[in-house]
Amino acid sequence: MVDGDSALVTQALKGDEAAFEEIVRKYERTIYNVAYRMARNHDDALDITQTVFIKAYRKLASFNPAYKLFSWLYAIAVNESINHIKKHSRMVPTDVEVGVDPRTPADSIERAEVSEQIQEALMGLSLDYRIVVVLKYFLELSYREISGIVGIPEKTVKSRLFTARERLRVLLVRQGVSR
Amino acid sequence: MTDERITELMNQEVDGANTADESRELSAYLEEHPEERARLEELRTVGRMFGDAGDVEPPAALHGAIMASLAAERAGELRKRAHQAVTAMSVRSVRPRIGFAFAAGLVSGACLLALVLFAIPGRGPIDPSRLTGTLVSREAQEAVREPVAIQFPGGRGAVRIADVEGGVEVDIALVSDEVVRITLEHGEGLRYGGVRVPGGEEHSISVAPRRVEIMHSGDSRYVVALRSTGGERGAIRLRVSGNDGELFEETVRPRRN
Repeated sequence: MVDGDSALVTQALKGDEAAFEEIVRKYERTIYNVAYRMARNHDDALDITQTVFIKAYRKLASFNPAYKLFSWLYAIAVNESINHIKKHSRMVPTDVEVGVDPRTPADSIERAEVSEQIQEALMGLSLDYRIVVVLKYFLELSYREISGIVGIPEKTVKSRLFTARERLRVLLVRQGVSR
Repeated sequence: MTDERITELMNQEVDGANTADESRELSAYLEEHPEERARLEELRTVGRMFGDAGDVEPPAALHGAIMASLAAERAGELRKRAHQAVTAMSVRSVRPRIGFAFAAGLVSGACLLALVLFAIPGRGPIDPSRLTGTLVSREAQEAVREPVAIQFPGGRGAVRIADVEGGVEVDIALVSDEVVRITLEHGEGLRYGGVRVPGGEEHSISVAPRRVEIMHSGDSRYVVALRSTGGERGAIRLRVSGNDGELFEETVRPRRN
């Protein structure tokens, strides 16, 4: 387990709420990003992130400390993202953009545009392919780690990743985004 | 070399996962097929683009929203345990091995039930004279960045009122024994923008000018979006009412744009 995670889990299991909050602080941003990259919607990403931590809180006693906490959390995040996307949300549309940082400097607009184009290309992939791309590129996980999180053989991880990357290459080059 | 093998070697090269032998195999292939170098470079470019894209900025209210959900979860857990304790006592008390044990069980069950009812606020009868609602000011919320606890006889939860881009977001997580009405009253500078119920529970909502009402029961969470109309936002008044009248009330004045 990542340094400190083991102690936090132990403390949280003893009822130390501050320890669980520390786990939330440590991983909330990453989980939110995974959820957003999967769902491309800030409201959905917010809901998914909350559900991930609620489920982690409920299941913490069943967590095996032989594994890495982040792998366990990411596995919950992946499953929750898939469930959320497949299930029709009961949301009433609102156009309040809660995820936009108003302090975004002008010189990062181009980066934001590239990010949006990449997101657009990602959404062109099926969920199976999108998952491995998100875990590989945004979380920089190894084939083996992705295999453990998604629950598929390493060979399948490679196959999906390579196919997805080829599709992204074609999509992004066609859009003229590649530089 | 098959197309499949070329694809595998190129992608592994991009990921830095080729062995020395595999890298040599790829180099030899590219020597013979220089036109394929462009494809390899494009695959690398895709990887760089993802690296350049960076993180998406989460909403400022993310942490507070997660902690509010956890607070509601813990409150629900406590209620469930209390309910199970009461049920277990009832079951035990009706085991009629002998008349004395039955009578003693009934008496002790009744005593323990009374103890649970009065010791745990969430199980007690609603008594408006025991209001203990606390909602700190907007400025204090900014300072602590935490959801604020709502507590009243028969219910508990948490609320966070946050300025977001384009308006105000009111995040309410509530657990209550009885049906209660959550009322949000706001100024002309805001208008109703929608409500999300992350758990997907059934609920009833009514919207009138400058007022949103949600009929709540059980354990639910509501995220109400109030959009700025450009005018004076004014204060937001949050009330929770039950059959016996008002249980919780507080007024918050969000920061101006």
